Amino acid sequence: MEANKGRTHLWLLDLNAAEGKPRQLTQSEANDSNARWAPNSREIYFLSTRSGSSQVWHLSLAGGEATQTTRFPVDVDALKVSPRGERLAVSIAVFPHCTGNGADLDCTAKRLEARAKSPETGRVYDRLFVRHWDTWDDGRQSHLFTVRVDADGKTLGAPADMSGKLDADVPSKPWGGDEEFTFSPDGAQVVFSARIKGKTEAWSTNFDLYEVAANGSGAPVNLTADNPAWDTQPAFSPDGRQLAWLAQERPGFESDRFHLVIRDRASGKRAT
Amino acid sequence: MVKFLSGVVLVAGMLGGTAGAQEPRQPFSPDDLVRLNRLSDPQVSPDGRYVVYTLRETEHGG
Repeated sequence: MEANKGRTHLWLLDLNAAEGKPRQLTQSEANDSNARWAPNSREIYFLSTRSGSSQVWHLSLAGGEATQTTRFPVDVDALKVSPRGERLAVSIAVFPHCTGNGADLDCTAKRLEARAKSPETGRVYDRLFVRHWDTWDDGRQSHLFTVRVDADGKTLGAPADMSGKLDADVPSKPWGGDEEFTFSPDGAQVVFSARIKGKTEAWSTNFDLYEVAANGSGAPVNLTADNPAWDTQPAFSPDGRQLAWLAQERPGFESDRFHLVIRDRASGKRAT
Repeated sequence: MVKFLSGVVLVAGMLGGTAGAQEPRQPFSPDDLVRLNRLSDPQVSPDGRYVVYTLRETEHGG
C-alpha cells in the first residue's frame, strides 16, 4: 500500500460461530464499501472503484470473484437492494437537463468531460446553495434511480429515474445516504425524502416523503405535504400496510427534535 | 456516532495490547490516531447470521 493513503475493504463476521473471527471479503487495490445484502443472505452488492469509477459489484459468499453489476459512465453514490432482490436503487449525480429523456447518463458523462477539458473555470450561480459545508454545487443534482437485476447480479435494461421530475437532491447533500429512500416490501414502490430546491433551499428544512412506482412509470406523489417541517428516513412494515418515518414539527429549525410517525397506508390514520 | 464508538473500542483495544506486550511504552500520538483502523456501515444479513462491514486502513508515511 502506498504511503499516506486510506483504503476500504469489506469484512464478514459469522454471528453463529462460537469464537467468530472476521473474514476479509474483498482484497482489491481499489476501495470497496457500502455492502448491501441480497434477500437470500448469501450474496452482497457493494460499491467499488476497481473499474476506475464507483460502480455496483456483486459477490457470493460461497466463493469466487466479485463481478461487476453496473457499467454506468458516471459514479454511483448510494445503494439499496429491494426486499425481493429484483431491483437496486442507486443514486447518481447528474446534470438536471440531461435527464427526463430516458435516464441519459451519457449526457452527464460527456458534459463532465467537456468541463474538465475547458479552460473556463468561472461559474454563474443564480440561486443558493453555492456550497453546503464542504460540498460545492457544480450544477449536478443527486437523482435516485432503480435498475432491474437478474439472479446473477447482472443489470436488465436501463436505469429508471425516480426523482428526476423534482428539483431536488435525492439523497440530500452533503450527508444523505440510503437511509433516505426505501422499497415497499413487494418492491413495487419506492419512497424517498426530498427537499425542493427552488430559491429557498438554503434556509428550508421542508423535506417531504415522495412515493413513486419502482419501474419509473408515473410521477412522485408527496405523502407529507401537510407537514412543512422535515420528513425523512421512511421504512415500511414487513406487511407493507404501514409506513414509519422521522418527522420534525418546526419549519426552518434544523435542530428540532425528530419524532417517529407511523401511518396506516389504507386509512391514512397516523400515530406519533 | 457508530463510527465514534468504534474508534473508542479500537483505542481501548490498542492501549490494552500495548500494555500487555514487552514493548517500550510511549504516549498515544497523532500518528497512532491516523493509523487506527476505522469500522463503519455494519449490515446484518436478512437471516441474522452475518454482519458485513467496511474497514478503513490507513498507511501513514513519515
